[in-house]
Amino acid sequence: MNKAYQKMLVFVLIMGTTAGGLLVGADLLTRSQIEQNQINLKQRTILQSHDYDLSTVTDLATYYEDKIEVIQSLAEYKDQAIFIYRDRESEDVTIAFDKRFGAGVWGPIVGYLTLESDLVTIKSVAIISQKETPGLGAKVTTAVFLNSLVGKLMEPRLVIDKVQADNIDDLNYVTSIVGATRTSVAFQNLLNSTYAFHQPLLEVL
Amino acid sequence: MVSISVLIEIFIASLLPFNIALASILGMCPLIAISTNVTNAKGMGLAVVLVTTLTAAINWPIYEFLKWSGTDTLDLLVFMITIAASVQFLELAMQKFLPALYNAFGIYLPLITVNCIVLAVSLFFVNYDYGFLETVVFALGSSLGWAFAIVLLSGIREKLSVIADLPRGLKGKAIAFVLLGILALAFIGFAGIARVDPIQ
Amino acid sequence: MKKFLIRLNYKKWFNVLRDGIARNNPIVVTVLGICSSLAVANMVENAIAMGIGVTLVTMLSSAFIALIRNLIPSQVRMVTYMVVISTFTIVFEMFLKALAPEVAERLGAYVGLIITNCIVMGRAEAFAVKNPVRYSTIDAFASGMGYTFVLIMMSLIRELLSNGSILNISLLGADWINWTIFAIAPGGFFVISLFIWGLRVWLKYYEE
Repeated sequence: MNKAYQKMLVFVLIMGTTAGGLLVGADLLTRSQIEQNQINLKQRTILQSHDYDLSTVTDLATYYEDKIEVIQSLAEYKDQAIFIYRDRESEDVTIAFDKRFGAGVWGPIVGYLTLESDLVTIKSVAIISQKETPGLGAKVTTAVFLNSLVGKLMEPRLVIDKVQADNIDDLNYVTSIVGATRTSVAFQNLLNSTYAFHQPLLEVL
Repeated sequence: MVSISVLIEIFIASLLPFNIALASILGMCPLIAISTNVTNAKGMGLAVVLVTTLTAAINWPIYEFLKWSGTDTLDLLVFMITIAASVQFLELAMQKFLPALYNAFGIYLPLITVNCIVLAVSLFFVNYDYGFLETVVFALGSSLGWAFAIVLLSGIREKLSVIADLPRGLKGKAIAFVLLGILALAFIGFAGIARVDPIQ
Repeated sequence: MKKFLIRLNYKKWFNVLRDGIARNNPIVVTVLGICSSLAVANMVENAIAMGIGVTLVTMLSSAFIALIRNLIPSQVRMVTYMVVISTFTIVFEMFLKALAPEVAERLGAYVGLIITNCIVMGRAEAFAVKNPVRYSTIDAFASGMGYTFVLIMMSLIRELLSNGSILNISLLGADWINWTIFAIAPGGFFVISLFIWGLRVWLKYYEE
């Protein structure tokens, strides 16, 4: 091998290992803080989904322990545990949707679906992370859209569709986001498949 | 195992309603630059189909390995390196073993490294959690859809440059965008015929 | 004052800055970087976020590549640019997620778009690999600003027509029926072609 190829190979190796090293290093440095942030966010979101006012709470973890019962199901899905979060007082349940159950258009949509104690009516939907088109699909996180899901039914299946929702009064129809048909359909499928998976587990509770 | 109907649905969905150029607006840079005449467009389209399908097929097992070893965060970096390396390797191999083919569309190969759709297809299969066959079918459909768009656009542009009296400011890239807008509108008509994430 | 302005015209950094924004405006003249921007430039706040993101990333990567420009073997230029750009961006995103998670979440969709943006690679290849660090940084800043300018202009029209607002402040009243077509793909194409037309006539830069 002549000198030019050698130089190129050496350069590529050095560059590859430096870049890889930087990434892995940054990952190690930030991982624990990121995880802690995620736990805090999860607890805050679930508590808010059950209508708890967090403005006066100082110790989030203990408050969360008090109010929410975390049930780990015996079933697993795609090598990850399944958790059901039940409010100790009102018996409303929260289930998590993430990339195991479906994807958004550009990336996973992760959040929590909270059902009333009848296990069919939606109490609230919260989205923690998504990668949809800003200004279009990303409107799925707006209060306007998420509030339109409150009080809707998951049976026989949730339908997020503009044309049908305008003409039908049934409570399982939701109007889709204007200009964001793909995200609306993806989100609808995500919620339906999450609900379908968890339903047998919820009945047993 | 994945059924044939699912594979066909993914293929049709990535070709028409979820066309990667006209619905997801990806791969615009080379689309606009190379659509000036039909011969170039066909060459570029062919090269893109070859590279995209090949790199998607290579990236899938690599991603499985990354998942197994727990280093998911490196996926973007690793995909890009495999794409650049595959293109380089393909160019050398074609020059040596298939010189006729290389003369036909080999000059476009270096341009494909920066074509957004090659990386986008890999990121999509990660997002939709496809198996190997679905990834290949999706890559084939998406790249054929892109090739379809560029050949369509170049045909219209070629004709337009001869018969139409365009204002000076509109000639070239500006009118190409207007045409793309009309094509994108037309492709919205395909909505709903197939899904990229079919229920299994 | 006049003497100062005349002398400015002979300064290299001023020429680099002016060319980047006007004569070599990435979108209007060379039509680079549209890939990721058409979908995103539908609202003014998204355009600002994307514009600032691209400018910062281009400045950092151009500066770094200009720094190591004499060490890069020519066959692996493209790979080097990509590795540098993506490593910077991903590390930045990781630290953002740890220290400011809400901001990271809002910007999450843009990160992938900025990495693959042709402008970042284009400026590295066309300028940074042949010029010293300070001029490369100015050139990157100018390209980024030219890009941001066009993006904001586009999104002003698109948001006004498809949402009746600018920066989420409703301007056209409650009776306005949204022209949603301007928010989605075809609308982006139509608006950008009008801008290219207008700016090219103004700059007298024509393509035959």
